[in-house]
Amino acid sequence: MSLNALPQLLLNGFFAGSFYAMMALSWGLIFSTAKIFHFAHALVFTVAAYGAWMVASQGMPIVGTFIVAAAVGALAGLAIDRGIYRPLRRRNALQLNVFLASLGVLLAGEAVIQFVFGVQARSIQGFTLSPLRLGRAGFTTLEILVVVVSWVVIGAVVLFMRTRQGTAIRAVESNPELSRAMGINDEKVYRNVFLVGSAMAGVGAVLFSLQETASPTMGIEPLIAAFIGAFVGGIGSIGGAILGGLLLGMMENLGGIFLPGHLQVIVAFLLLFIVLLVRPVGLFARDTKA
Amino acid sequence: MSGAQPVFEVDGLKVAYGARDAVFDASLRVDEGEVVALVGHNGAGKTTTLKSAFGLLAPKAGTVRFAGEHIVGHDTEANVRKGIRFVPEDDFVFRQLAVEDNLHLGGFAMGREVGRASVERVFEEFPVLAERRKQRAGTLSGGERRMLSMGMALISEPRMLLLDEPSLGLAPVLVRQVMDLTHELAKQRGLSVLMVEQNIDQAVRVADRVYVMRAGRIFLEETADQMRARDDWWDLF
Amino acid sequence: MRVRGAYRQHSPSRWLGRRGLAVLAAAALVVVACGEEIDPDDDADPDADPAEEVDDDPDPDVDDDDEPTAEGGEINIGALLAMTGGGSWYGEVMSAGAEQAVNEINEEGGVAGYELNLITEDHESGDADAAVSSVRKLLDVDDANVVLSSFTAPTVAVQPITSEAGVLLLNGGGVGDELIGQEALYNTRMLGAQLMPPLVEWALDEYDAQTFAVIHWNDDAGRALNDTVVRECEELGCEVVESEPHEIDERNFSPMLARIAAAEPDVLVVGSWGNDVGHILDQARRQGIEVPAIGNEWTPDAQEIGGEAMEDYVAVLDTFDADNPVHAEAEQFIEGYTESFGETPEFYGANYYELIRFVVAELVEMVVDDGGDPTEPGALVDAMEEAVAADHEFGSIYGDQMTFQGDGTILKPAGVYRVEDGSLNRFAALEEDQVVPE
Repeated sequence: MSLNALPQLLLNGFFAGSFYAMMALSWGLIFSTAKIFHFAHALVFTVAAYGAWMVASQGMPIVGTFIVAAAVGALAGLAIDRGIYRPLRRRNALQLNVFLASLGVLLAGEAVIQFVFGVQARSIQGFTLSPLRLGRAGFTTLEILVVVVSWVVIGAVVLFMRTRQGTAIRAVESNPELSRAMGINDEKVYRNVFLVGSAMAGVGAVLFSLQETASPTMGIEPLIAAFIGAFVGGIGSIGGAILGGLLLGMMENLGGIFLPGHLQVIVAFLLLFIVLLVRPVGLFARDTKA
Repeated sequence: MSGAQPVFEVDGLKVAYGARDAVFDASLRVDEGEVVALVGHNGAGKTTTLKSAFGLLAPKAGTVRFAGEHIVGHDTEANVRKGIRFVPEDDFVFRQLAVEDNLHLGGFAMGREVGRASVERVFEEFPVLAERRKQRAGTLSGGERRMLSMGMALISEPRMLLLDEPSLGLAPVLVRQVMDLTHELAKQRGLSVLMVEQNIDQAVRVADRVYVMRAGRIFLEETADQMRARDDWWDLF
Repeated sequence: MRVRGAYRQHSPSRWLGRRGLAVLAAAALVVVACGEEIDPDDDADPDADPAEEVDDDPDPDVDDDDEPTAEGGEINIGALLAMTGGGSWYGEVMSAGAEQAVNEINEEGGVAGYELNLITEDHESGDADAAVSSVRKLLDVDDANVVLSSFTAPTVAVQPITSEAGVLLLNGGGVGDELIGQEALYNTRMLGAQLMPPLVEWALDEYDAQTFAVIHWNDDAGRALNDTVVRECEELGCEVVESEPHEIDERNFSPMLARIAAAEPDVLVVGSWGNDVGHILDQARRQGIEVPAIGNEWTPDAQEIGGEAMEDYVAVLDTFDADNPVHAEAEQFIEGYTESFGETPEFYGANYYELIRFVVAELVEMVVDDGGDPTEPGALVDAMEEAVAADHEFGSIYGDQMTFQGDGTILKPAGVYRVEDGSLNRFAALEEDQVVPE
């Protein structure tokens, strides 16, 4: 056990947790509304990252890079919904088939990206780091950027859910058939959640690439963090997704107190399994009958 | 009613589920202020007919006219705005949301026209709901939920109601209440009602006319008096 | 009247069921595991080439040659390289070096009447399973007579297979301890156990260091490096205060680095290869770990990833000095490589060129001179064993010659480099286990 490392681990946990909270929300919104296990969200993430890399390497300032990534992500996500999920929806396809289609899109898309851009990792320029310290813990302005951007985006989505369109989303999330009976346009709602969720993934892709790099298979691990965060926190609950992501980030890092580094990947799945056994609706879901 | 144009007219409706035909050549009409019941066996195609007329399903052929206007192919939002409301047979409230949120959603398609004032009006009409305004709809009793579903439909002050098995799952005393309410809405407020029902007793009690459906076809149309005069209905099913 | 059951639930947890979710989680676990296999960063042997994609290869593989040889036939050389994944740069430069050797030899009419045929396979940056299946293909389908391998884990994984088949296995990239003393396996790269001790001693003096922390790959190569540092410290009187293993291609080093920072070392030792070097230093500096860093690897990709964090990083590396060719053959190699590939060669490319141009070629000649058939299983292996036992001097572009040691390792020029202003600068040589400044 190494308690000296605790302040650093707590801080790292908060940085990671903020990012995971945003990603969990981006994926969870799509899953709870459209009822699709959107594996291809990882592809949206990757496509947005490469879009960001392309403009950033032409000298675009970081703000523009975020905007481009959000837009590219939104379009990619919408294209996947229109091209793959909507036709399957219309045919009342089995959930398993939709999941397999999503996985197929992801794998095919990654292969295309690898073919077009090559295998090597790309870094995104446009943000210079300055080091900062808080007591014994060190970090940089990049970590601050991640936290600020993540929470601003989360806040924007929370506000959006209070608008009329947000209400329609809640309705379709709760009962799509009844929503249609009430005259709510469910396809428009699906379009909106894919746009919002995918735009968030695009922003996340830039944050991720700034901290690490962009590569063809970059999307799978953030996706797993996203869905674990969403399930742990509680599907259908915005607060749940946020708290689930935060908890995941904290646990992954605090696990470092007693687990050797190469086992930390287990922490995420351990957390998921425990939650599924003990409280399957999610830790922060408000009602146990879901 | 008089020779006025029917408010709702279905003509030659054909509906299929994939390759399987479910409704063949269904025709019916509802005049203004009438309560019309569409009765029949389980699986006769009644709900399918109703949903296709409203736009929840797409028919293969046939026309549907509301106040003279063709509405097949229009989406449900347009139909709600025109003044037709549909109340499903089950899952007819948003269980996770509060009663007042359910009412707001009932008026969603109307946009700004339906606001707080409309919600309050519904609460005045259904005081039981007012007491539970913040409660999650899933926690209401069956009868209260049914009442809420009616409130959600009425909030937009519609001209026509399409009710899919309103008595389903309700205790007899509540069934009577729902039927009486339906009758009152038609006679005192001039709403037109097309009601799909399996509970023929209660339906016939409040209806003006009755259509009987079997195996996807409407094969009989009688006035409620004529229906009530029958000794039994078994030979119809 | 119909009797209805409970109303349909709409929540996905209910809708999927507990079992469904557990299956999904398991499926995700499988996908992650597969993902990690597709992109692990095993031994990365980078070279000082910028990582832009230049893959010019005007000379197609010998396969396309119209005139399959003279009397001798063909020698099939299998190459097991990192063509995809985080170590793809290694695969590029290694195959460039190998191809050049093959083309040069074939243009000269082959070796002892035999034409060379190069078949390249992908071990996906160190995936042992991919390596094994590729080697099976090389042996069974392509009839390989010799296999060039790279990275520690793939080499270790395929060695029993090639050894049993009587096929010579030559490694020009991996550095792990398990590569030593293996049947029919010979390494032309200096191993961590040979290179690190002098560097540790140098760091002790240079930085006045008492304590070291090691962050390393959780595999044979990384553990061997860690063990080497620990042993060296035992002798020199310093202390390794923290050893942090990490999975290859880990990406998130914060917990390991947090523990390392808490242990307050004087020097950080990077026992990892490939892109991980860049990620580690980048995250270490971001977490405020400012102590000097030393290691056994540097690649252009890692440099790009680490950026400023790589400044002042010191690495001990095999040296191939393209600016000072030691003889005409080396010059020919440099010119040819630069022309075909567009970049100056570094030691990985040089190693794989050498393996074919000198080691394989000379062995084939030896067998033919003795009247044997080099394509026969065991022929080249036996010739190699004899050559090593006789201290045979193979040609080399590093110097006049190179000799293998009995345990299958080699001694080669190595140097110590520091990253300055984004580029690698050599400031010392490794001579007789000492760092000697230049």
